[in-house]
Amino acid sequence: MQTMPGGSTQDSRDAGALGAWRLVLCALCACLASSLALAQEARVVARMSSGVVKLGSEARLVVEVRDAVNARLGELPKVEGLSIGPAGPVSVVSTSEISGGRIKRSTQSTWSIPVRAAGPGRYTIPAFEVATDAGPLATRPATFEVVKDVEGEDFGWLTIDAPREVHAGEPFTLDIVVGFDTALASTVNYANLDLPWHGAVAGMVELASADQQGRSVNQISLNGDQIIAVEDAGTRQRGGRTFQTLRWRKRYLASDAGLLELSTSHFEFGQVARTFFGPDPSQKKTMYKRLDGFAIRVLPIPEEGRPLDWSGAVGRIEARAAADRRVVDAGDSIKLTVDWSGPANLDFFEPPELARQAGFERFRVYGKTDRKTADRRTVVYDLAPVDASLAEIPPVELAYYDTLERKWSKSSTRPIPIQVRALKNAAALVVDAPLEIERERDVADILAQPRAGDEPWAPSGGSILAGMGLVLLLGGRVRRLVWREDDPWAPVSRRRRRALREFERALGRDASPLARHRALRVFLAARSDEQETAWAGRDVRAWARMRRDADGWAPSAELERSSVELLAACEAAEWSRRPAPESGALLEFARRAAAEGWR
Amino acid sequence: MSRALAFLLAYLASVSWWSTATLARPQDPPAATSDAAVQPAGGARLEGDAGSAAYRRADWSTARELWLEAWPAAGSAGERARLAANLGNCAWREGRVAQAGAWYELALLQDPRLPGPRANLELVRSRLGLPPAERGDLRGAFELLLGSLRASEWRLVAVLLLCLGAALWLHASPSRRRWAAPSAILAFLACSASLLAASSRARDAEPDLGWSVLERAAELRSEPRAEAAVVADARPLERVLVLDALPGWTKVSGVDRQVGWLSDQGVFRAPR
Repeated sequence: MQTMPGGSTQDSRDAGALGAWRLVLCALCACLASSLALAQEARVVARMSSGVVKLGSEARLVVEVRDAVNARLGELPKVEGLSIGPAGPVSVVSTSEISGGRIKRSTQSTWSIPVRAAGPGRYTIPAFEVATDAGPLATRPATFEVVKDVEGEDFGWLTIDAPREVHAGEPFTLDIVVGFDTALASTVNYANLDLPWHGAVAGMVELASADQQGRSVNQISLNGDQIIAVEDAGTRQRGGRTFQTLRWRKRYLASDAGLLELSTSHFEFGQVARTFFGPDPSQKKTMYKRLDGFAIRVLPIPEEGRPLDWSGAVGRIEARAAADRRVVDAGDSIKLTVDWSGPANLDFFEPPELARQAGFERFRVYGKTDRKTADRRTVVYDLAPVDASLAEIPPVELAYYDTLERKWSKSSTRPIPIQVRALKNAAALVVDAPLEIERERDVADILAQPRAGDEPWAPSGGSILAGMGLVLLLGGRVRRLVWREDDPWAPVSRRRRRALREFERALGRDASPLARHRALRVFLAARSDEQETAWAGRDVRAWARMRRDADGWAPSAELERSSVELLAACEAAEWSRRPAPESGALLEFARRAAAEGWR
Repeated sequence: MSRALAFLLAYLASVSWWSTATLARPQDPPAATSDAAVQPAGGARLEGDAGSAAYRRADWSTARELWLEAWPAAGSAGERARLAANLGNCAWREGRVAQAGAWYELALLQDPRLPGPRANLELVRSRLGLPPAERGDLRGAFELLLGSLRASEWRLVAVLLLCLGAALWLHASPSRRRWAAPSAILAFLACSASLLAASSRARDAEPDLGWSVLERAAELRSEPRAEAAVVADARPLERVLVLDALPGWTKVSGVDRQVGWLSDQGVFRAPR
């Protein structure tokens, strides 16, 4: 074997390639196994939870779909005498197992559909389809038998007291009484009222029930998923048996004319095992009392004779009114409380607007508050009489359809006598109030004494105008005359006035020749409104001649000579070791220059 | 500065002397004239006292006649104000409410600070159903304050403003106190405004004014005929300017900025 340089590297590369191939093969095997699992045949099974059920108890149709992707339940079949559905949520369980080196996957979708029978007999639920992605699957027919619960019929009690006819809009009460033989009282710990029509009948609106205050209250189950409060209805006799009964009153309102069909109802009672977590429905021994379905006819409200102000009241209504005060001032508020009660749709009509009712023209209606209870409708109106001649609050009328008399009618409150005091005399009615006497107004008395001219003297308008003109015309000249020179507040004037004072300070600060020379130049520059450098080496005589020629002013000859001498002496002292001029001589010169008006 | 003040004082003294010596002062009659008005020949202080005595006797018409006779001789605005106020009281007692209001208005024009007529005028306006003359707000108070100054007092205000302006003008400097010159100009403008106010006040006292004195709206007609078109309605106590007069008719302006004719029963004119 020939060993190649770097042979170990080549071996490692071959081993890596082999490992990658193995991974690919494993993935392919997994895909194949998965496809094999999906390729299993889909199946559907429909079966009843029990082959024989008691009438009134709930049976369940269980539909199981195996190994189907995206199974969907189609329309449920309809069987006469059976109520099927609605279907609950689907339960999906997926499992995987390795069997013989193969991965087997299984999926099961399950529906549990309630089934109720209206009467005893043998029922067959026909085949129906379940849709899947692989195509529809058909179930097999499911057969079961419903037998009458003889014991329940004997030992149970279920009656529903309901009107045969009502009018549209009229509330009515269902008086449901359930019970069981008192001999079973020690063993019964479970009661369920099964009303399949409850909340499922169109046109039947559930109303709030009156409070069961002061009555013995028990709790039973409604349709297996609600707890309702029922009152104790005492004991009743039937067939030589004594029944302990419970009553549940429920108010409804028929919204539309037609027929309200209430299907078969059952009362389930018996014993249910209780665990730590509560009742266990799977371990129960119950009986069923059945009540056949019935219908309530809803009559329409007649249009004939319908009042224009009818606001929807139906039934029989009584009205009462009360006022919070009987003696008021005109314009004061009266709270008029109107109560409507009786077997009527008290929640469903609009209370009358008093501002539009006859008799309330001389009242101001500010508003109303509306309060509804189960057996009463209370509206508080805020009224204010505006006329002192009003003697009563007129009746409040409400138009309604009387379902007992079957005719249109009106409920009226009794008029309430009131006393309205006029506002103007309201104060006088109060005994202790001081009387306000309106005094007569009159003009002030005459001025009997003659009046002298008390107008002050003042110059005429013309003289004032003339004075103003004089001020405007001559003001500038006067100002110049007073100032004698230029504006004394001008910067150049103030600098010139300041020059001597600052020169004195500068001489006192520094006695060196350099400082004295500079101070003299600064003084002369301030007086002549120039820069200090203008006086460095200046020919003073030539400058004086130029000033004389320009504006007619020049320093006097003596002052000119002094300035030439002092400037020369200062300059010489600055550049040599000669002594500088004395400060007294410099100040003397400066004072004479200021007095002479050096500028 | 002292020189400027001295000059200003000299200027004011000269202006005062000049105005006293050269310009007439018709609003301030000599004392002898005033006395003659109050004390005419034949008796001491007869007009005012006699009218007052008649008024005290509840002889309104006699009091009215006496005070009307005294009107032309009243030399001062104060005396005219007194007579107008008293004549207003006579009209009130005689039941001519709107005319009483016109008299009170006239009295206030002569002497704006006379307290009685102002209160009486408010009573008249209340009786006529008119809104009060004094609204009671800030603007009303300001107008009342300005309206309470007589013509001569306005001129005194103008003199004060002129002095202030002159002082500022003389003190103004182009390099410093630059606010002085604009302030002086403002003072001069205020002085001119005061002179205008004085002139307006003097013109108000002239007898060309009139008032609508019907207690209902008086019809202003385009021509002095009862059949002429009505161009405007003069409300009670509405001030008008009398332009002309014909028998039974008075031509006025100022009613809704219209010029027209009012019947004499509807116009009150200040006596001359």
